[in-house]
Amino acid sequence: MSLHKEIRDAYDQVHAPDAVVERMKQELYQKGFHEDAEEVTWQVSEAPRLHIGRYAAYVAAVLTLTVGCGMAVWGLNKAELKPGKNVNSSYIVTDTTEAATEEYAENLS
Amino acid sequence: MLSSINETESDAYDLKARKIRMTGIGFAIVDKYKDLVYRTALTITGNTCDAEDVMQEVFFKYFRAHPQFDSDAHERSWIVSVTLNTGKNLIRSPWYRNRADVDPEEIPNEKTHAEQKSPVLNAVLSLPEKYRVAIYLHYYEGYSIREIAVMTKKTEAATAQYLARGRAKLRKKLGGVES
Repeated sequence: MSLHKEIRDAYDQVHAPDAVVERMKQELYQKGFHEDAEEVTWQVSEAPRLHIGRYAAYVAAVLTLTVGCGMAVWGLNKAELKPGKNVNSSYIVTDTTEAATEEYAENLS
Repeated sequence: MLSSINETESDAYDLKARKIRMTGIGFAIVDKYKDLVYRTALTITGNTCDAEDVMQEVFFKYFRAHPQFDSDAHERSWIVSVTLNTGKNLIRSPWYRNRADVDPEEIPNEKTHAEQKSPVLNAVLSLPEKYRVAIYLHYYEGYSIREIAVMTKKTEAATAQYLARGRAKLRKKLGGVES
């Protein structure tokens, strides 16, 4: 008998144990691979994923809004409000008829 | 019943279930390739207990990966390659190398399998891993040297050498079997 035939005959006697295969099928079923008897349809459940990118974007957006609003409030409080350049000068009232104070008079003399 | 199981699972674990239609695939894939995977795993690990573990891991990998294949040959090749890699990972793991050896005669299941093994199979399994894998894939599965080289990630020359040396060792062990 040839070596080829000997090896073929030897391996033909090797089969996966039925008990092990059945146990494996049960474990596959429990892990989320379900078989529908009517049509061969499989329900595959996905483990929940941690969407790190989505959370990071959310946190970044909230931080940006908070910091932006805070800086705006702080800036408004610190701002020195001045009249604009285009304010009409005719509205500025200067009383030139008021008498000079004593101190001013002393200085003049 | 299945829908209630799915609803319970999704409620309990907040799983996002997706329905995949895999007509003709499923446990049918297990029935189709169980012997191929088991034989390949037995060849690479050399014992039935580890072969069973490898077989289970291979099918779990299959269902997790949901690979798409062009043909049956492509699918078969994928299964064999994954089995070889899983078996290699197992026998090269520190846990495997540092575990205590137990006499197979002391394990009832292993003893039964050992008694059932033919002398030729025992001779093949007693060869070094690279030789027995090459011999099994070439002589039993019918893969060419080029295909074995691709699957085992070796060169064709190396694969041919493993095959020739394995064949010579096997002939020596079996005591002059005709080629």
